[in-house]
Amino acid sequence: MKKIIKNKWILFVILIVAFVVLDLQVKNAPLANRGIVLGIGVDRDGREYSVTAEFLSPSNGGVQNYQKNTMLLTEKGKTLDEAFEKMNKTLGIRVSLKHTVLIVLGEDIMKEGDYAPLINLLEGNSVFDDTPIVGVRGKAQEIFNAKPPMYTTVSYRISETLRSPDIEAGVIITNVKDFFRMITCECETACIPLVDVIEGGASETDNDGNKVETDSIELGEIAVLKRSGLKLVLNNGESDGLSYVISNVNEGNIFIERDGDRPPFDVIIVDTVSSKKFDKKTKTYTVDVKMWVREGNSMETDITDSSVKITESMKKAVGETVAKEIMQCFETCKAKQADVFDIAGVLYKSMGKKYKDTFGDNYLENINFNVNVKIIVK
Amino acid sequence: MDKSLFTVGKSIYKRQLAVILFIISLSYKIVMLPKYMSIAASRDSALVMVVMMAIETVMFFLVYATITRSSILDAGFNKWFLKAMLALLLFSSSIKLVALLPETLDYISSILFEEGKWFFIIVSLLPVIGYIAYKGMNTIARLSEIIIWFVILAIAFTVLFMKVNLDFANLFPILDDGVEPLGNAIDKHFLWFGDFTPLLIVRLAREDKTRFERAYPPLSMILLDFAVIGFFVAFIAIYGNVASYIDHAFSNIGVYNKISDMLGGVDFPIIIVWLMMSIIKLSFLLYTVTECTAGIIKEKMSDKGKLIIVTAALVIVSLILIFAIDNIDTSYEFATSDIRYFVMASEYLVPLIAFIATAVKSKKSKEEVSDNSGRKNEIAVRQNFEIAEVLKEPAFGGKNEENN
Repeated sequence: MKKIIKNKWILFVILIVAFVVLDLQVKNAPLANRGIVLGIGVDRDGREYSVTAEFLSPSNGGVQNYQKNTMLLTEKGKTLDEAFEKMNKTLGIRVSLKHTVLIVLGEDIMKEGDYAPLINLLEGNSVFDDTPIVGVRGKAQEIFNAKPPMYTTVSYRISETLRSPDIEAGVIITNVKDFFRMITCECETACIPLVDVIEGGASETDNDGNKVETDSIELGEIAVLKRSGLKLVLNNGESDGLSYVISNVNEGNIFIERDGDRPPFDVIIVDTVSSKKFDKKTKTYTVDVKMWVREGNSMETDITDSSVKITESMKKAVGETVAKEIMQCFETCKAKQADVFDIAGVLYKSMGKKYKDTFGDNYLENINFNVNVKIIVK
Repeated sequence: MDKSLFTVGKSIYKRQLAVILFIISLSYKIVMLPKYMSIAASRDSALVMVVMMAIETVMFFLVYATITRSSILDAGFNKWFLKAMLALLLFSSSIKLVALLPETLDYISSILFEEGKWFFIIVSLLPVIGYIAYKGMNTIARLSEIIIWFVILAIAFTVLFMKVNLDFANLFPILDDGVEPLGNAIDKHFLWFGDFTPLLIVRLAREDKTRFERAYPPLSMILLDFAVIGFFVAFIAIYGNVASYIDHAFSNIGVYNKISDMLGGVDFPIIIVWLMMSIIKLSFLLYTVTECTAGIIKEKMSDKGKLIIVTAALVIVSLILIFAIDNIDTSYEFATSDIRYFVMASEYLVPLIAFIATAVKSKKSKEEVSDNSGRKNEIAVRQNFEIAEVLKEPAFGGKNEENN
């Protein structure tokens, strides 16, 4: 026995055999037997959840054509875990959630304020904390039936827009972590972008040269959610106003119509930075927005003329438009007691819990909301 | 005469000590503790860490001042006094080993595997920890020196490519719920602190390779303070109210980088690095258990005896983890039960006692040396006079007046 232990090579072989045997005992599935979930859609179906998952199946190999390598499956369950277990049995593969790039909430889930499935995903470490969440009018399942461009899947298409460094006005990004942070903080309000599918909204040419119609997937409206459920949906102008404050908008145009004979013009947004402050004396909550812009395409009437510049009156017009959209967003949300700008959070941080005694539950009615927009030409 | 009663292997350098203290203290403060602290103290958990790290710093300097004189095993203490201290160290290290191992098991089970069974992880992990502990402090020290480069690279990678919204407003208002939550948080989570007490059995090399080496451990302690407090501040700034939902904070934060947008979750540098750090910590705890047990049972325990102790310790720990503390929630209940007070008493009193005892011992030794050197001079002078009498010469040189 001592000779065996002293012989390093025999000991090495024993250890290797032991660890291989251990490995075989561990519940594991090779990559080919896994269903890599790209996107999860959650709907309510009576007392159960209807979970739709967009899978990427590695067993089909290759990533040249995502469409051929993806499949959709919908299962029901009292919890998300139960639904995924059913998927495991149906497909005969192990569902892997760690590569999920998108979570879609159906309209019924949003209306009821049933966020339990998301809490399970967050607490159970099933998906990454920075996985984006979007909402949809109708069923989440329908979103995954859309036909995106050939090179991508529905989940990737939406998540690419959300994760893009170029953020257009009206687009906000809310991930799992931020959603719960906002729902559980003083304002108890979270905003998620709404996805809209326009059937046949685009087309492309396949490898054989045939024209293929694809669906256009757009983000325009924003759903405002409270703990109790969906409060309202912001229209395009209001969504723009919200995004100027809570996102770093750095893409897109602002188009300005002017009175009289003065021609309309547009400016290109280069960057946006916002800050918020609260003045206890005047009870004024001020949002300061700095926006860097440059001359838009409509101003380039003559490419040889480099004298076209944004004038002070143009800057003022742009500033007023931006301020109006932000104010419109605030007023619409105030009517529904939805604190989208986390005013309660700022009040709490400056005054502690006493802010509730001072301003009451209807604090949105009892403060002065002010917007300052500074336009800087780059 | 060699006053060392126990064979503890060779000494380690101060730069190795600097690396070891960083790893053993940081490793378990950045996994589950952020969640537990957030539950107890909400946004004030960062403030809790400021207080606790201040206490840890004081404890470190007590321990460092002690071991720069000598390890408690070499200080020449009374046998029973030493065994009492070793018994306290054994107790606290054993409890910590049993309480902290489940965090590693849960980490591996939920992050590396899909709810992998603890039994198989225990069988794979514990022999590794046992082997490192058996090989001794030099092995732990050298491993730490290698691992620290990976730690630095992983942290640098995370920081350089970080893409996350840090909202420091989440840390305010401070102490809005009063001081009570802070007190509760500190009271409940003592087990995650007091990491430096086992270092009392470590032997430090007397000679420094460079003149700056003496400063490495204190500098490392300061860096550790910034790292831990900075981590908690960042954690609250990122997660805000949701912090109490987040297990395995260190690996979750690793996801927030620009490369994840392109390639998907790139958190494996952080995962691998934390595993390395936890193995060092667990090995060190097991090493302490082994050496303290050896010291209590017998002076100069042989390597075979230590192997038996390590094996026995591993078997006992395995049985506890398989049959008693078999999930992370049970382990948390155990760690926050009343036993934490006994561990706390051991972790915070032993360094103080050791510091005072070694200071007194050192002072007595100096007095003995000066007495001995005085007596030796007296003997030398008498001897010179005796010789001088025989030879009829001056005792200490000079001219012989008779001859002159």
